Amino acid sequence: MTATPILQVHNLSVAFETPRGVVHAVDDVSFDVARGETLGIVGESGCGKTVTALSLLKLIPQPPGRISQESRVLFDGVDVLSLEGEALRKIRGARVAMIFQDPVASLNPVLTIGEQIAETIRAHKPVSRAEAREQAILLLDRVGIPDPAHRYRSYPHQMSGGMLQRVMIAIALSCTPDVLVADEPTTALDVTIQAQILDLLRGIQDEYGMSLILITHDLGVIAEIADRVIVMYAGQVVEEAATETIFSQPAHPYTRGLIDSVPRVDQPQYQITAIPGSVPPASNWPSGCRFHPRCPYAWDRCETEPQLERSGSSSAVRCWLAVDTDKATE
Amino acid sequence: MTKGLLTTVLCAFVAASCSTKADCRGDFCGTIVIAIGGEPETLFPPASQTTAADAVADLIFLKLADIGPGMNSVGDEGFLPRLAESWEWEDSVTLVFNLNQLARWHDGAPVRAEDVEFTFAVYTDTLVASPKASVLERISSVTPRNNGQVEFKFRLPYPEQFYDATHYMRILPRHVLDTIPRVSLTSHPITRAPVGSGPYRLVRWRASEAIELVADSNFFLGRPGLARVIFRVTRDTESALAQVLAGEADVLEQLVTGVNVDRISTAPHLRTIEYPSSSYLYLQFNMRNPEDPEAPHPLFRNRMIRRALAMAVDQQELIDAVLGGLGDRTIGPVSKMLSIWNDQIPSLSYDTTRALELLNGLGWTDTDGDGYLDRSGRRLEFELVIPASSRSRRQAAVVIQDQLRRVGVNMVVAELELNTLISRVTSGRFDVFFGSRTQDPSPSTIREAWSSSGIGGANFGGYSSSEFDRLINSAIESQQADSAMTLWHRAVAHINADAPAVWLYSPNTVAAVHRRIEGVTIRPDQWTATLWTWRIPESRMIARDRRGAP
Amino acid sequence: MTRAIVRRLYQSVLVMFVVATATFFLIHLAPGDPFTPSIESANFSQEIVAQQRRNFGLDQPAHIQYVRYLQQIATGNFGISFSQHRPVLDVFYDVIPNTIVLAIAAILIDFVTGMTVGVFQSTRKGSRVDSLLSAISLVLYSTPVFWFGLMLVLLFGVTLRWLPTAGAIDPVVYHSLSLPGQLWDRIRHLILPAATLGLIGAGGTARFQRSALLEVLAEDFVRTARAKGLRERTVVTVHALRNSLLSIITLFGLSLPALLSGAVLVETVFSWPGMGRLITDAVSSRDYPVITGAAIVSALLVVAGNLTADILYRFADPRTRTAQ
Ligand SMILES: Nc1ncnc2c1ncn2[C@@H]1O[C@H](COP(=O)(O)OP(=O)(O)OP(=O)(O)O)[C@@H](O)[C@H]1O
Ligand SMILES: [Mg+2]
Repeated sequence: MTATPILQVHNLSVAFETPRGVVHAVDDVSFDVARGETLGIVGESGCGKTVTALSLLKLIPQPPGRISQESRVLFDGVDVLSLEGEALRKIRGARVAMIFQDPVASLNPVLTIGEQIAETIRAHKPVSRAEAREQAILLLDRVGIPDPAHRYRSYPHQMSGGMLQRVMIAIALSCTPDVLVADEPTTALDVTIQAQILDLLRGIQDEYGMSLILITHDLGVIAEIADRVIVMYAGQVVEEAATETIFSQPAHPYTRGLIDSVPRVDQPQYQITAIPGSVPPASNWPSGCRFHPRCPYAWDRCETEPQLERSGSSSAVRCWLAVDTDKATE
Repeated sequence: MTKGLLTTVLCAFVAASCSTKADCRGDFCGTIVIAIGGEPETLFPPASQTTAADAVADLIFLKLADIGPGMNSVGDEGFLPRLAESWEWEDSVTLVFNLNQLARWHDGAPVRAEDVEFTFAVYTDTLVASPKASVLERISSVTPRNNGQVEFKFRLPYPEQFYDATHYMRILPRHVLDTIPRVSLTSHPITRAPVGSGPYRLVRWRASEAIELVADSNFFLGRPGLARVIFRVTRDTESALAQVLAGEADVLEQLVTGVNVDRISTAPHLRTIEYPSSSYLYLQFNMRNPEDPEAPHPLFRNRMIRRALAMAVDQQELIDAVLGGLGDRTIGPVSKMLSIWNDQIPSLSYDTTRALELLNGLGWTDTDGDGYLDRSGRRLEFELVIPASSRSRRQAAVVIQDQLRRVGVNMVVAELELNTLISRVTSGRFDVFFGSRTQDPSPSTIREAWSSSGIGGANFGGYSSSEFDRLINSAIESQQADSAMTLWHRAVAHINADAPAVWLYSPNTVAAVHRRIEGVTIRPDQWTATLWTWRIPESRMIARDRRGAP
Repeated sequence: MTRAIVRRLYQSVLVMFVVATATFFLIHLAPGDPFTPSIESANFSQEIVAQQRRNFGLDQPAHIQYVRYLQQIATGNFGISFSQHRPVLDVFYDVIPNTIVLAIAAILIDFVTGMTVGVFQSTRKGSRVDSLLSAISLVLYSTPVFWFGLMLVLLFGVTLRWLPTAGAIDPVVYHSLSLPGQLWDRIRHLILPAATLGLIGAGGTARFQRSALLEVLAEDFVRTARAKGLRERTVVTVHALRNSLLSIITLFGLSLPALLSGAVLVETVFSWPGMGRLITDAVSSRDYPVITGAAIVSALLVVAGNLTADILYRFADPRTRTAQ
């Protein structure tokens, strides 16, 4: 093992007080991200991926959100969740940057995109307005926006979604962060654009040598760029493994279900087998194994809750099948 | 640097606002501010229609003679010389005025007989359409004899000849107005920049805001006591009260309610002055059927019902409840200002037992026990129309409604927007109208409101009594003051007995005046008429008095 | 942008025409006649009344009067006031500036205090100050203008004597003051009426600003701004506040008519020499040319206000500017 991970998440639990009761969006999630590594987080909609991502920068609105006492997000050894004010601000955008699912809503409609990049630079670096502007134009150029000096003065409504996601990436890159968190960066985009954006992300990750947390519900994307994968279901981590391992030997029935539901170009004749049912509401997780109501292998033991069992340094799974190997081989 | 600049600017402001110009010394300084309830619509007297316009104009313009404090309008007894120094009767229809040789227009020109001739011509010119024209109809001509003498000819002799010749016309400067075509006279800019011959001249008129007058220190009848008079236009009584209470204004000529009088009484710098008002209030019965003007009113054609209703109303309770005691019960269609006012004149007094007896005698009884009288299945009820704009009348209507309920009469109150009310009342579409009339000093205006000659005009109820007509005509025509008075009293007693209306009250007017002002007298028909004799002794002056004339 | 303004101008001509027509016929339908003699004092003859009606062309049938009136207005002439005997334009010239000054001062107080309080509240949502301020603004918002003005007069004018109770100037000293002195005198007189109108409006504006800002603060781009590491003040002012301005500007456009009608009451309480009192008087005396003129001018003021709101909106929201 090399140096300590740049980011360590320990026992992260996030709940929301809503009029309809307490929603346990994220429950005891732990993972590490090494320097330069690409970590994928997959899971169906509503399983807590975004909440996890936002927690990394303490962006959960409190109230109604509540991050548990035991939760730790250690960035470079410092617990981000315990930071306030300036100290927190100096990490946001500068050391850990984020891009979001919907680039149109994520950019301020009344400011030019140039201003929105430049202000990020000026929030963290002692540069003049003109210098910030120059850097912003360079960034626009780097993320592949044509005629950047002209585009600097454009407003978000004058650009396409793909272009705007490039702008978001430019903003995220503006202070060369150590970690880039990309929360479903391509979901809202056309398929052709998706590939371009992924290429871009991979390119800049190489170039800047930063860690990337890529959140998606698309295993195809994971297969393309992730080194390691975390599978989330119902607010919990259900499996963690290196990318090849996940695809070759998925340990959790949920992971298997996800893999089976990916349309495969090489075997078009196979029918896509989706997981039956849908994610239950976060206010009311099933007891025992949270997946068991939908699990094709569920048995009586699944009525009690399984723990996330580690096997080796980078693999873990939360399933009774993994513990009771007899059953698994049936 | 900026701070220093700011301080300098602020200091300049403060210094400028506190800097006193020309310190005025002596007894004739004095600046008073009057919170006036309306804005003059013009300062061209022939066109004026509001009391506010007359109040200001009477400081700028003079009449030939003024009515005296006794308010006598018959003959020339009690009249005070103004532009005319003296006058003589050459025969019963020829009156000659000798003008005061010292009288001057504000531009320095002497006041001449041609000015009087010109004034009469303007007032009676149909192009000018002066509201005063009709009262001058009995004057046949006004002719100058020479610069200082002017002759009035009347069409016929009558007791109020002198009053008519002097009371309505404010003398106008011919040399200023002559060149303006008559038809555009009332809308000419000169109407807002008047040249008069009175104790004060106009300095400036800030529309909707203030009118500033300054004393003519050479005024030929004596130097006015106050150097400056500022009328501040204040439509709202609360605002006017606030101004006098805060010391921003010195005079408020109408406090309106007893509550307001109490508030003024608590302010050490103010005093109140009570004077009789020129108006009276009444409930007027419509003698004609509101649906069919040719037919008599189903209820009020009956004199006994009218008398019964009149007896069922307790005026004193009204005066206490509505005016806070500030008023007198009227003795007929007569305001307290009039010289014929006399509380010995017989009138119907409050007596609910008698009222009920009368109604029962007419067959009105409470057969169904609902508390209201009825007769052959019909309840005794009618509608009272009142202007929604008058708070005091709204209050009074409620009190009267309650009083009538006590004798089993159901009066329904309808509050109408003023113009709707006017159109209904003038066209006879009403049962009972809550009216108020403001009178001239001459009692002869009673004729147009209550005699049969006023039907179609100001006699909205259509009351008609040949005996009343005879009495009032002879009162108006009578040459002897004593017999005129007796006739007036008999006429009033007669109309009281007929009860074409329930006479309610004549409110007393209470003015608030700053205590430093002395010599305050108020003539009931025109409260500014003697204002030029008010003064402020030097020892009691306050800052604004020292500012003197601009 | 200029095209939109030109279109607005066309609209305002149309509005003027509609308002002039509607007012003209409404007042002619309303009972009462400007030259009906008073029913409460000495009468004057029908002849005189007829002459006065002739002098002002009221003896003509309504449709002829209407055509004449439109012709007049088209040439910028509002006719001659029946009651004041002078051109309506002169009458307006004296009072409209006062109303505009009062309205602008009131708008400034309204929006500056209202927005400040609203922003302050939304950054402290749910705290005790927040609920206290919410209560205060609700009370202010529902306070009758007349009563509130009277209370201010009694407190600051009569009891404390800090500020004048009435008028736009002090007629005793104004004309002997130096220019800065006159300005100061005007400001002193403006404070209470503008505060009355402005604070009551501020109650509503604060509530509006609070919810508008809270709504914007929940938007994704605000989260982006935070994630970028901007200072919280920058997040609120540059990102959230600027976007909430869009709805505040709409509120501004909508509140103008209410402001003008509130001005009528305030002008009465403070004896302010403005248009409100003129209109009240004109209506009760059936001064047709003043009423119709005032209706047109009020409509124009509202149109001008909306035009201002439009222009402001275009500045504040790049999406409404024509796409490149
Ligand atoms: N502010 C909030 N208040 C209440 N509940 C919330 C809030 N934010 C998230 N949640 C709940 O937390 C749960 C997890 O939401 P989250 O957005 O993290 O899901 P996700 O995995 O990102 O899904 P998607 O793929 O749709 O983005 C959901 O059930 C959601 O309803
Ligand atoms: Mg999400």
